[in-house]
Amino acid sequence: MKTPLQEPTFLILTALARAPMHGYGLILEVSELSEGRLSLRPGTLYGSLDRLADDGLVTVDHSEIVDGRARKYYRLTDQGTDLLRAETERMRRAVEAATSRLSRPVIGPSGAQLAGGVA
Amino acid sequence: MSEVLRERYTKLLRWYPAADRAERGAEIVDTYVDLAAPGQRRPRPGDVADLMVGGLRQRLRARSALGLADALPLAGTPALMMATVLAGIWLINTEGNGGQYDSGAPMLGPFHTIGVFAWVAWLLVPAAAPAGFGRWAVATAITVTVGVVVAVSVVPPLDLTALHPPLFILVPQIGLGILALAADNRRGLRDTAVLVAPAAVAALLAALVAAEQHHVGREALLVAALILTMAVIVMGVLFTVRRDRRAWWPAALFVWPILLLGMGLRFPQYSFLSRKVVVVWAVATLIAAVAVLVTAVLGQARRREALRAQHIHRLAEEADGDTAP
Repeated sequence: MKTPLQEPTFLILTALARAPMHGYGLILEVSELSEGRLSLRPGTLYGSLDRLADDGLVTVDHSEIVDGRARKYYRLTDQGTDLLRAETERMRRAVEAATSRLSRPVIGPSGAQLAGGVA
Repeated sequence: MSEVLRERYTKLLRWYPAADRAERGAEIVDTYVDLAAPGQRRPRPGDVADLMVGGLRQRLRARSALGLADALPLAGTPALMMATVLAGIWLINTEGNGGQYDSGAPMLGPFHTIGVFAWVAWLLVPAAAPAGFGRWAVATAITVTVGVVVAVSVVPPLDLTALHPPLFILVPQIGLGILALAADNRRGLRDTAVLVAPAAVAALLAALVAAEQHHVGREALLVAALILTMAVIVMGVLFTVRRDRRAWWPAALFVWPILLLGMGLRFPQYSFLSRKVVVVWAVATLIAAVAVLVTAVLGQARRREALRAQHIHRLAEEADGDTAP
């Protein structure tokens, strides 16, 4: 899978970075990570998990019986962890670059901020 | 109560392939039930759509044709862009070029044609997108356009006057709009910026060159068809080179809109095509487009089966080699 990742994919991988999770837990975790902006529905979530499994990024960790229901837990594969690391690093560099430019704007002779660099 | 709800969600699983229903159906339904509000007895409309789309995606996945699903949002953006640009052109062309009408031509209030409702509805889409209502705005614009098509169709042919935009420019707008529904709603802001600039430039150019009276914007239809054709060819080549699974799927998705745009060019002898010609053309091209998509999906599934058979054959040969004395 190529970077940059789409936000739902990034958040699903992030949610699984800490520990294996089942579908319901993943939906709650993604909602929390996105501060309520992104609320995945089960049909979309399981489709995404299938796709991530096809790409070798996620796999079924184990199944458990909870309240008489079988629950599958999903986890990141090594490849998934590597991809999440690479994407996080890419985003970190982008944030650093933006923060640096915002904190040190270039000021022109008239006091106006210049769009380009100094000659 | 949850049993009733569970049963209703389970019924919706019919959109999924049988193998998926058996393997994952209970897990999906359990998750829906876990997320249900207290006292909820029926699936929410959004859940119904989610299961429908999810099921169709799984059917494509089962045929190794997920590239088609991936290509939909990508194809939706240029379709939306083209629909908006054309709406700008038609609006300027019909309302900003009053010299083409006789002084006694009937008017609808301050407007020359009833097409103004459709064009304005399309031009409002970029304004609605940043607020997260892009898809609703597209659906509204399609509905308004269909309404104008119906109005044009029910008026007797002898009364075709300046009040009637020709069907061959209204119907392609619907085809583009249906594809535009697939545009990614979350990218509303960025898409809007991309949309508004070319729409404004195109509308300005259209106003400057003012199309001929008897060929209402046929040039624009030709240019639109050519731009979309070139865009899907470029996408197809790029995706194929990059081994992106979307490959030529955008091209397959644009077959119908491009053929609809070609309708006015196919019959240049008529300023206003007869309703029968438009209906026959729209239905025939829709059937052709669906046939292209179905053939492509089935072809993809056959290729996957052939590759799988080759792989199994190779594994069997390797196993034979290992066990041979």
